Amino acid sequence: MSRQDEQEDERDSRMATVHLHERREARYSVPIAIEVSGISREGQPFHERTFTLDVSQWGCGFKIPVELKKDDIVALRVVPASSETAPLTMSSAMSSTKSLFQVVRVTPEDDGWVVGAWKMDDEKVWSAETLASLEREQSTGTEQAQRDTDS
Amino acid sequence: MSAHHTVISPGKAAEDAAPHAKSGTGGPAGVEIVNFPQILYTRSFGDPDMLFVPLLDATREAYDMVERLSSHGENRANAVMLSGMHLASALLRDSSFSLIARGQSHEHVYTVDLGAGTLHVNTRLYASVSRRTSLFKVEIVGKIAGGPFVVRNPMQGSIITQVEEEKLRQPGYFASTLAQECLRVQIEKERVGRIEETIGPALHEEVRFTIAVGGNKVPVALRQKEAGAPWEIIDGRIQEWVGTLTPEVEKNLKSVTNFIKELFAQK
Repeated sequence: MSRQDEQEDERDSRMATVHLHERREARYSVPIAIEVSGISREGQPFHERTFTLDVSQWGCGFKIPVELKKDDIVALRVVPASSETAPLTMSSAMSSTKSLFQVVRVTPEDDGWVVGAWKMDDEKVWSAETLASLEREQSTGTEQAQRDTDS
Repeated sequence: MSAHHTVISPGKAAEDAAPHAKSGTGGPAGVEIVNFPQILYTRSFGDPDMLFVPLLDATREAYDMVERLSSHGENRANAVMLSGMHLASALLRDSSFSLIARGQSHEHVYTVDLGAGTLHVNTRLYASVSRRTSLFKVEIVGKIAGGPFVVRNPMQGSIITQVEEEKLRQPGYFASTLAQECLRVQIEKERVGRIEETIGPALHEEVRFTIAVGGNKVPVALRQKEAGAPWEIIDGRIQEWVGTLTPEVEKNLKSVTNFIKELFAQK
């Protein structure tokens, strides 16, 4: 492989990992109610409601009963707040419009697949401030529950 | 092949095209799916002789999916989005594709509009005819569902030719046949242009036509500078005088022109 080819490969790999550096960022273990849409391996559309396992500005992890593969593209939207579907307060700062995500890792589990995906557009699906406050809210709740148990 | 097994194999198309294609490398290309946030980029398989057919097939499957999902009650905009996602996933399964940000220019650009059902290709073709090599920027546009593709000059918007899909599927068609056709059309236009340039107020009458000589089409002009003057025969390719009509032939020409004059007078 010539030096020029190597340089082009290096450039390509940079181009293929747009926003990668932005993915090395704070990740919050926040269960946000989401709806994931896509096309299954059988060619059928699916719209699955689930919760995020963790969330960052540019990505998220979630568990889903539909099999996905690396590089699949899925649409994701935050489900609007309601006491039945969302355990945490979904602030109005969160968008309910769909945003496209690329699947970057899939791990099979007993009753589904744990998926890691990163955002392809610059839609503000969730803001960093909201995520931080949600995690604070969550940890405060956990501490309170622990104190209640102790007492 | 069912929709959920879509596989893009531009490399296979390249192998098929290799014996005929003039270029051994495919070059970079961007595939834009309308309303998709990023571009699918390939560095090696962008040449239309490698990518056009597999992309058309994959696009057609995605378009069929739009229709299928719509007929099953999915909102049309949603069906377009889901099918676009499916197409992008299929392209990404080929290791030569990756996602890149919008806004960069590429030698070959493919635009898939599943909502409108169209496929646009903006590309460059190289052709050599009679020791003349030319580069053409062309836009190839067609319906994903089927039918002929129109080849246009993107600068002027003029139609160069119209091509049936089966021709576009022939190995090496873009690099060889289509490029030569573009050059032939351009040369033809230049010839006509040269003839038009020479028509001036100095001419009394002129007749232009094309004749087949030894398998070639030769543009010819017959010109009369003033009433009663001899009719000159001009080779339209090089604008050169090659002779004059004999009085006998001139008589025949006169009967043709008189017939047409009367026709116009009646109208």
